[in-house]
Amino acid sequence: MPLVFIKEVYKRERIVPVRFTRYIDPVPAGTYAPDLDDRGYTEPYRGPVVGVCRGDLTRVTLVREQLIDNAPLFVTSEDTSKLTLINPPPNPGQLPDGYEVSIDFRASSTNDGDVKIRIHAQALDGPIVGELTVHISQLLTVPCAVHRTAIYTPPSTRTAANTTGRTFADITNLMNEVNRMWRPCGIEFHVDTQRDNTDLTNQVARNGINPTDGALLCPVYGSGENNENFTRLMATNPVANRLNIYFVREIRTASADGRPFYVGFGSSAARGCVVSDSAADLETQAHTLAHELGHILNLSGIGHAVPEDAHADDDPQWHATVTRRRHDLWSRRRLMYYMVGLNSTDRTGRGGRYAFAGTDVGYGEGRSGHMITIKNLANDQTDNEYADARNRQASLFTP
Amino acid sequence: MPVIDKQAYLLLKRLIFGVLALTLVFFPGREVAGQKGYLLKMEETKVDVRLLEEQLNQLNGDARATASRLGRSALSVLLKRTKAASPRERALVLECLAEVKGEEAVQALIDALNDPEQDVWNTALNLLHVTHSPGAVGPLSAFLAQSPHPRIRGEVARILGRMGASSALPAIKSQLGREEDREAAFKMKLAIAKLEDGPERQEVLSRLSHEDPKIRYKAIGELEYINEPTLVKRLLPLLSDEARVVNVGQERWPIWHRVCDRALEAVASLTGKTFPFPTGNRVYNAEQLRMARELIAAAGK
Repeated sequence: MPLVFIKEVYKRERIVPVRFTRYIDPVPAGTYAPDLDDRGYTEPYRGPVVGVCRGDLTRVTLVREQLIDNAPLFVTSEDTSKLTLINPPPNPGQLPDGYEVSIDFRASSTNDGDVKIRIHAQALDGPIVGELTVHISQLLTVPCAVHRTAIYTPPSTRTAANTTGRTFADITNLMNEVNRMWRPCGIEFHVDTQRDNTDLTNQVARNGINPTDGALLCPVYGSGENNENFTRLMATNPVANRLNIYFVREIRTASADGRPFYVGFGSSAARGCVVSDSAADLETQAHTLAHELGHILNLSGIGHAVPEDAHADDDPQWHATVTRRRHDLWSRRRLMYYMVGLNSTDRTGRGGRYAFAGTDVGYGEGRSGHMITIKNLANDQTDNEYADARNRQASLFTP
Repeated sequence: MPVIDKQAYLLLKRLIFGVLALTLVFFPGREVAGQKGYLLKMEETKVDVRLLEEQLNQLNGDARATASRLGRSALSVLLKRTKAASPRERALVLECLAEVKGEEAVQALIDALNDPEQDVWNTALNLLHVTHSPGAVGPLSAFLAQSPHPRIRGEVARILGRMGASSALPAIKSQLGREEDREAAFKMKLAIAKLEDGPERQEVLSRLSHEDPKIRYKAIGELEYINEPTLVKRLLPLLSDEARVVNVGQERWPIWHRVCDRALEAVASLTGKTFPFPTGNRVYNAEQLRMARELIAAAGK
């Protein structure tokens, strides 16, 4: 017997019987579990939207938010020629009981575009109580060259001690993880060129500190010196018409204590980026590289005075003042949030600089997310990342 | 005509044969060595063709260098693979064909504009900017009206402009009249500006003095595309324009490219001269900007 209660409503109340979320548990092999862009209810997406690639098996979670766990729910595809439901099977299409249940589907449309998954109460043709827009993309490729880079000053020579410790097999694993994060955007970074003879040998001193073997020496942020050694790295053994990714042993700041530490950065103008060796787990390393590649593809970039400064937490004018920047749940879920980890005590949590203390935003404690936004919210000029990235992919190597 | 008697003729004949025989005795290796070199080259070509096939099977980007080394010998392998099942292979094959160049390669690039996969036709577009031939004008012009993709229509117009294909002007203008995509229409106008000195070119020139520095900066690139050396003097006022427009550095270490920096780079490109300092995505000092002004003055003489 359902519980009946009376509630006074002033003006209006939006009732959300069910909602969709990212599938969080370990994903079955061969399945993608993208983050949903569920921010705001504005046109053209009055509800959540999720990006998937043609042909991919995709899993999302349905939450019986305001329904009992055994409320009979049925799922349909708006257009079965574009999207096929796999689980539950389309006939009868009934969802299992439970507060959170999985929906598996495969998009097959040959054109980019939207198709809806609908949740019906009571029967397949019952009233619609929830709707998820699936944005289907054809997979686009960014051809990449990866460099196992050595850094030294002659008369030194290339040795294991001044070369990245990553093997090409490590790099392949890393790129697979990066591509998993980028999948909802329909972009794959495809490494088709490997270079094991890239030696940066002409570094210069920065901020009065001399370069050392094995480390890319960068100036202190805000010191006014430019990052000449990065420019030199980008000019070292580059592969034409490829996005060049340089793996180095270490990135060192030209300060007395080597702080702050950087693990990577990229340049859209140079169509390249650098990533240092890391003891962090694969997820964190991949997040770093996926983020840097985001800079190259202009994620969060349009609408900024300085596209390459773009981060999900920036305001359009790139105010350096922390209080004017955003550090809410939505920002932290995005791939282009400016920190890879959320546990830096000087920033997040009690006594930190930001009012919002949430350090678990759905990706595990202390992890920022991978969301690449599809919506283009009017008040967020860092938005519309899906379209911006795909446009940049098309023109990346256009003369 | 000089006349010799029979005995002298026989003596001369023996002498010539003798010299020939001695040559063969003392320098036998010449022809053999030539054959050996030829055979070696054939063998190298065979090895490279096998390598190319292997690299294409593995989708290895180094196939481009192998194709470049092979030249036309790569064509038989590459042309067979333009319809490969994998879109990535088709795109790589196009890149290899662009290394080989020639009419067959250009035709394959044009055909690829009909490929169903965006990555493939987009690769072809990028390559056609650099690899084209006069015979491509007709087939390319057809895409202006026929392609369902705005990017193809716009970029084809830019390619035709870059080729200096004046015969394509009517087709570009006709498509511009009915083009609904804003970006494609902009590219068509740019192509017209490149191909004739008319209102479209004046629009580009007027953008050089637009109040928005981003538009001035972008217009310099458009002027580079028009690539008319006599217009280089239009850059003179911009060499004093210090408005910062683009960060060509990295997120934490910005390098602000100003309008004047972009203008200096365009001076080099339009005059075909090189400066005694490195250029490209850099910031230039007063002395370097002065040298750019001098270059413009010298070009005007």
